[in-house]
Amino acid sequence: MIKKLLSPLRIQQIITILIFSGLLLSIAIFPNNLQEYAGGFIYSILLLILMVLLIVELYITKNPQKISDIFLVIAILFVLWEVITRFALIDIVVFPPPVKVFAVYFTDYLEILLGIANSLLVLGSGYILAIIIAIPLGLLVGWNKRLYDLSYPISKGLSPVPPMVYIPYAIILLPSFFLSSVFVIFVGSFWPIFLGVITGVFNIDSKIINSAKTLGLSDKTMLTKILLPGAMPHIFSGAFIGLIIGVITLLIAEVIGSSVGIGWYLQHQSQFANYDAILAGMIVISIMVIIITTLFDKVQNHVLRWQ
Amino acid sequence: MLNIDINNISMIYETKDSKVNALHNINLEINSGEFVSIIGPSGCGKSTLINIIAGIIKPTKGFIKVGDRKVENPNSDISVVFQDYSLFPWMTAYDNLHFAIKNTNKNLTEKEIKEKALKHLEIIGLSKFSNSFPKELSGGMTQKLAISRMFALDSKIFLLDEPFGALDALNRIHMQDLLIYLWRSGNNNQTILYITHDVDESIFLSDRIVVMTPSPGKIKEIIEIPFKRPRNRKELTGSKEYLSLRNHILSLLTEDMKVSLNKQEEQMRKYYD
Repeated sequence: MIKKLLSPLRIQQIITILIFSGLLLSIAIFPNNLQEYAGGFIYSILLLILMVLLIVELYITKNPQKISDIFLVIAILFVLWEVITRFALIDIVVFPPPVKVFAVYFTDYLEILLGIANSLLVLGSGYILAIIIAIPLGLLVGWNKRLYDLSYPISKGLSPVPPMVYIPYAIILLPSFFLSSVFVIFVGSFWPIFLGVITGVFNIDSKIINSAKTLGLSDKTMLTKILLPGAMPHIFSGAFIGLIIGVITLLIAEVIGSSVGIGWYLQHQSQFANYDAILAGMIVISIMVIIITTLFDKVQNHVLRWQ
Repeated sequence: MLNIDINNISMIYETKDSKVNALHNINLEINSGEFVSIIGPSGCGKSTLINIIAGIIKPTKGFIKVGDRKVENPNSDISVVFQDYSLFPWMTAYDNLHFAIKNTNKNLTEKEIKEKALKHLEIIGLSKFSNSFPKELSGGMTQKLAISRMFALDSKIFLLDEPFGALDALNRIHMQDLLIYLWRSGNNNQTILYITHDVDESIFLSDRIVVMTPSPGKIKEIIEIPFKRPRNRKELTGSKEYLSLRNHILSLLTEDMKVSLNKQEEQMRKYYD
């Protein structure tokens, strides 16, 4: 009984919880001013959420070791952050303590939330547009030798061009910055998805194609019911690369020319050397990316459950 | 019911620096409702021939006639089962049947398609697995499903390319029985062309056996199988007639092997000299 209670995994989980509790205590002991009270409040809520998440995840997960490891690493990172800033190992203006960084969410939450909403809108529009256009086009090109011969050299020449190159043209030719950003993200995500679809069609086993041919399918059925699902594994790898390129392009576009969005927020704060806000923005961006990619994985696992 | 007329078919694969004579002047008439096996060592063009009959590849010379129709493209008159991958891996067992039936019988209603698909799943005892994907089924189950899909299509001609080649001996016997059962219990006896490299299988299943030899692939001999149906596996394999047939086919096949082995030996000797 005791052995089961105190397995190494269990000990690891208890240590993690203890670290989180220690961090909570340290917040309660050391606040200096109002701003740090606010930051400490948000920070402790975050720590509490992490602790609850850890316990809940442990009940529902099939892989408790993985969850325990991830949370232990998060706890250790927080401790390191706390230690480095408490003892001022790095200049605390450049690398501020957690309470200061989390205080930003108290003062700037409206700007940050609006920024995220705007960034997600731009990213979503450009990315979904890329998917809607790249998939049918890729299926046709992958299926038709003549179209392929025509478009392969073109895509070979155009796909490595960084999407940012189009920004000046996009800004001049399109009526709003929103549309220009959508366009640039569309260009960035389009090529990996398009090439993924073509590779996907090429990699469908010829026996599957032959088997489909013997059913005497119409061209439309062949494209939608055989080529599309058959190419799906490669489409997803292409779409993932497209998504990451889309996020990077979005942030760069916002830094260059926007007056809204999370990228602009970072750029704006760095002009005033507000390092706490920069760190806060970086945390928001990484959480945003983690959520987006997790959703992407969920969709992928569901669609490719036959694999 | 349709017959197949294989008329002077030759197939040459050309690569950059060589020509492979896969099939050379193949002539064969398969009567409607007949079960014909093609047996031969690998490389004798068996699969090429099936693909040509199915309309998947075009022969270099000659033509195929199915009934009165010249074969130029794949058509739902003919359905094919390959050794693996005949099913679509992204569709469940039920969806595979449903999709095939729907696309080959344009005048069925949705309800009729559904009933037909479920009935075929039931015949092969896979009702429980209707929502399983092919990867979740065993090799035997997958081929059962492929065979059952073939029968669900109401095609007149079935082409089977070593359908049970990847199965273990016990499963193979079971599948052979299922194939014969489905074939004989249907109201329209389909014409079947069956490719195999298993001598026992070919004798047990067929009305005629076509023995082919490689490089270039051509027909060596056509053997009539005299046994009446329904055949009893036990009685059949014990009989003298069966054994002499079996030996005859085996010697035909090994003759080629000896020739090719001798050739190899000669080449090796040349090389070492």
